[in-house]
Amino acid sequence: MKTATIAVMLSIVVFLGTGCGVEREIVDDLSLVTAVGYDAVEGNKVKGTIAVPNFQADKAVTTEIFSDTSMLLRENNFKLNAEANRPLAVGKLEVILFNEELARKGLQKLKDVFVRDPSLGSRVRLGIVEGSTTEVLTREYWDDDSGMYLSDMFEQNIDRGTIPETNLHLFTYNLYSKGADPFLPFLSVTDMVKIDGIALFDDERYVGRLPYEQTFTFNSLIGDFQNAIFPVYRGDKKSASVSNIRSDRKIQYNGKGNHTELVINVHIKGIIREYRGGKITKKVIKKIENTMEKQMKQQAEDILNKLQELNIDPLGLGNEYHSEHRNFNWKKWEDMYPNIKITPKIDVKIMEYGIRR
Amino acid sequence: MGKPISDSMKISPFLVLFLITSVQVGVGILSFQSKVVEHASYDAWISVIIAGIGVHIIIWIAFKMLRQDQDIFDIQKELFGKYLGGLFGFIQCLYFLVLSTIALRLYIEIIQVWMFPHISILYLGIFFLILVYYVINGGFRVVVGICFLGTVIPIYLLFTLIFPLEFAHFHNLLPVLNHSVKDLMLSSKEMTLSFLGFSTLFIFFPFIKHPKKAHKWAHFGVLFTIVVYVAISMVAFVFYDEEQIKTVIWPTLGMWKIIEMPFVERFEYIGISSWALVILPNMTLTLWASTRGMKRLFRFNQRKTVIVFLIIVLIANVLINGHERISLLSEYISRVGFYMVYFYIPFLFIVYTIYNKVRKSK
Repeated sequence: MKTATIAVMLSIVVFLGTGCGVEREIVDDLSLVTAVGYDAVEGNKVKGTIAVPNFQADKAVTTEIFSDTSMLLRENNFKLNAEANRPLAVGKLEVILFNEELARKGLQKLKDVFVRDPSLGSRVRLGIVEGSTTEVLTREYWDDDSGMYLSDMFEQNIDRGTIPETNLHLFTYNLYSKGADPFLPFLSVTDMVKIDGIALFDDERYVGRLPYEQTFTFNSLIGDFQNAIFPVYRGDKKSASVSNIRSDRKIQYNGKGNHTELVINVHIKGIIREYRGGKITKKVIKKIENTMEKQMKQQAEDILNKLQELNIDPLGLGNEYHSEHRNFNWKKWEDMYPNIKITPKIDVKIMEYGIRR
Repeated sequence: MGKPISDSMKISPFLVLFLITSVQVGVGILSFQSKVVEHASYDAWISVIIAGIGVHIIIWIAFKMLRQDQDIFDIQKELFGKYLGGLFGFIQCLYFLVLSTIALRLYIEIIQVWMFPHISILYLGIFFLILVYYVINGGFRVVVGICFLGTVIPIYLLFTLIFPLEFAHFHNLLPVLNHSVKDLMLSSKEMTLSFLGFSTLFIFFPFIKHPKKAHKWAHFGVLFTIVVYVAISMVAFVFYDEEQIKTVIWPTLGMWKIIEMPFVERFEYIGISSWALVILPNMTLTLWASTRGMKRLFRFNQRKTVIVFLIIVLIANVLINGHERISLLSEYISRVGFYMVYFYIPFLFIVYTIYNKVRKSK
């Protein structure tokens, strides 16, 4: 009896083992999309460009490019499928780019296709491109395909503290958050494609950007980052480069209600990497610290003025304020934000100065 | 009272912990966060604790009410007579049958949405149900064994909660207790589907060797579930924004999406596959309880009812299609379960206590 049951079960298993109705997908038979770019074109349409790496026998990778226009992004994918020799799969997507013009119109509707698809990772990097994304994707990047290259470029810049951490998850987080606005790295195209500052968003719309020089200070206002370089200018003989080992941000609230004053305390621990003036003494260190504090404070004030003028909050101050105050009202905060007094307080401590005196 | 169960069929008291935990942790844990925040927003983890305290109370009632070798059918028969008591018992059996069905359907839905949109429910269901049949056919002790494994093996998934903390915004949880008691209670009501199923205790009670000793283990089981739920909800709350989490259907799976390891690009595929081991004890225990009830009520052969019930589960699974219908059904059953557990059982307890007092005084 028992053996009979087992036999029956086994035969059922073998019989069913033939498929379960699952569609077979073999990696070699797919075009794995690594980067997509979207440009605004006339009307309501979007021009989509897709980069697919093509691995050559000599280990080099070339990028295949497909491009077409349509209103919906999936429709675009569908159209591009007609051009591709293998079905396009987005499971390995690393980078999503939007051009400036499209971002100005708003990304809320566009990002839907990416957060709805279960096969897409949450760590996909996003970026805003000056000009056309097609140009960024069609460029040759030595032996790399464009998706991989751009993704590595974003990653190492985030590790090195040039830009704050951004990815699809954080972008959607800030997009939905009532007390924060999203920001993305801004790419510009010259001889090279380079990260050229930070694109600022008012909710879903791109409204302005911070220049590359201000990213260090912007990062320090956002929170903790490391390894970035800040140039301290004190004339030809005394200038220095300082890299930060640690940085943290604390927010302090003075006063109540409409008279609230926000103080952003930034503490930076740094190392001198370069000094023009020869021997470094205690006095020199003190002076470099002071100049750096002054320069950063100036930049921080510029940044904060710009943010308040645009009425955007990429620093997430609203969320911070919300977490510290009971009986909080978002409406009141929104009225308050453009006029609230925000003072940056920068404190720089130089810990080491390399292997030379 | 039914035929007393021989000692060789009974289980050690500490295994009750695994029975309670494995039947409580199911598909709900992958998706409960977005429902629970509806009223109490990010204070909802307190609601999870409140709902858990409610479960503790019901467990306490169970051990207070039931005597050794007695289950809920005995009590209902004693109180309401053969027919009315039998009717209540039958409703409970149906309830567990539906609970088992919905557990499988919700799991298959996840597979359909996240992994294989083309998968055939029929084939997958047959596979799963053969396994369920095999387990239940082995008797209650095998069911308990599966519950034990279904709790112990997937425990490693708890460690995956560390990864989303890379993007944690801890200030989301502050200020604590910023909502009214009413909001907290409404949110804890939303929690019930996730905690349901533990009322199988009222049916497998006679199988516990020393019920007095098992009491504390049952509480430990509930405590463990609460800890797991609170941990998962807190991690989700710091990972997602309040408005964002409401747009996500499966927040726990969404958190797994952020995990990237050198050998696996998307962790959720491993997580969902491992989840089969959580669903299996969940289904088997509720289905066992359902068929056991049929045996106690109508003296049906349990082995035969299992086959009939499995076929019902399979057909129901194939017929219930689409996210809207599935979530509607799970909503209904959670409402039924809510009233069954939090209204009917305390009511039964009070009536039974009065009945006993009156009988004694006579």
